[in-house]
Amino acid sequence: MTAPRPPADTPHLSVPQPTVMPDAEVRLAAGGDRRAFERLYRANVGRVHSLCMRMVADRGTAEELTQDVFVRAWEKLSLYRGESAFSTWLHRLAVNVVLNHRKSEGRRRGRLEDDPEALEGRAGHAAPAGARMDLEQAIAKLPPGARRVFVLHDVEGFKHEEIADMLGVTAGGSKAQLHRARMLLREALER
Amino acid sequence: MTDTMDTTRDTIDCERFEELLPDYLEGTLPPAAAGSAETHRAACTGCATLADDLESIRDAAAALPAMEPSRDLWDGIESRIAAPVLPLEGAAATIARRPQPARAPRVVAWPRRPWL
Repeated sequence: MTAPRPPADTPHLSVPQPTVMPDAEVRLAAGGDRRAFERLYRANVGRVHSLCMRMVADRGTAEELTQDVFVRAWEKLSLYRGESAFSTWLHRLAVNVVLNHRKSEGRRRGRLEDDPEALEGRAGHAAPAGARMDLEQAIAKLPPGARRVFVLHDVEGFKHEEIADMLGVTAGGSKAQLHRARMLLREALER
Repeated sequence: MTDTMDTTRDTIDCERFEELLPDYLEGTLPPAAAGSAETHRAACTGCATLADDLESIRDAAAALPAMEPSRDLWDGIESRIAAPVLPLEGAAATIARRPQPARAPRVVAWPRRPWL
């Protein structure tokens, strides 16, 4: 029997942690050194892109958002005070960029997302015929609301209170969406 | 249904187990309720399988590898951050200095006054 996992105190990271950048590298970039910023980009792009990709489930949009995150980071670098690791600061910034994109998209398209039905069909993400759907594919096919909470909680390790704050929902709502997402994933992975 | 909202009972049924499951998996149930859930899980194959599956999904999600972009995005980023940004004062001065297009004199066509 597996004991339930205790609540996470800090976000667990699903991807290898980038090497901790020396402060000097960040300072150089903040001073306008684009080569230093490129090194920061190369060390962190995988983690940022993973977040974008899993949150929006669309490669083109994810790549645009990844670029937006780094442009925004460049613009805001002077505000980075070193109170947390640079990668943590960047990750938070990435979450904000993705969620702001969602809000503007939501305003543009109206509220047609979050079909309460089970996994949705989505161009470019269909599982190969006869193949068992893997977890990445199944996550991409979750309804957007459930997918966001699942990615933020189970993949990125944020707590429900943090997610509630980011998404403008209650912690209970976040918990309910997470459970729904896990149940939908179970159903999809069993097919 | 006898054990609706009482989380301190020793025995619970499948329905109650499913209600407790989100908090059980989070590890946020009070100890007595967590004990009841554990007892039920140990005795019920269906609920044990459900909890095992959800734990596996949770653990697999936490271990997902990084997804690198399909192309190098740096060039696009660099071209955006390299674009010169005019400081506001400079921009204002530039706007002030910018020659204004010559305006043609405004011609107002008055209606003919038939009484003249």
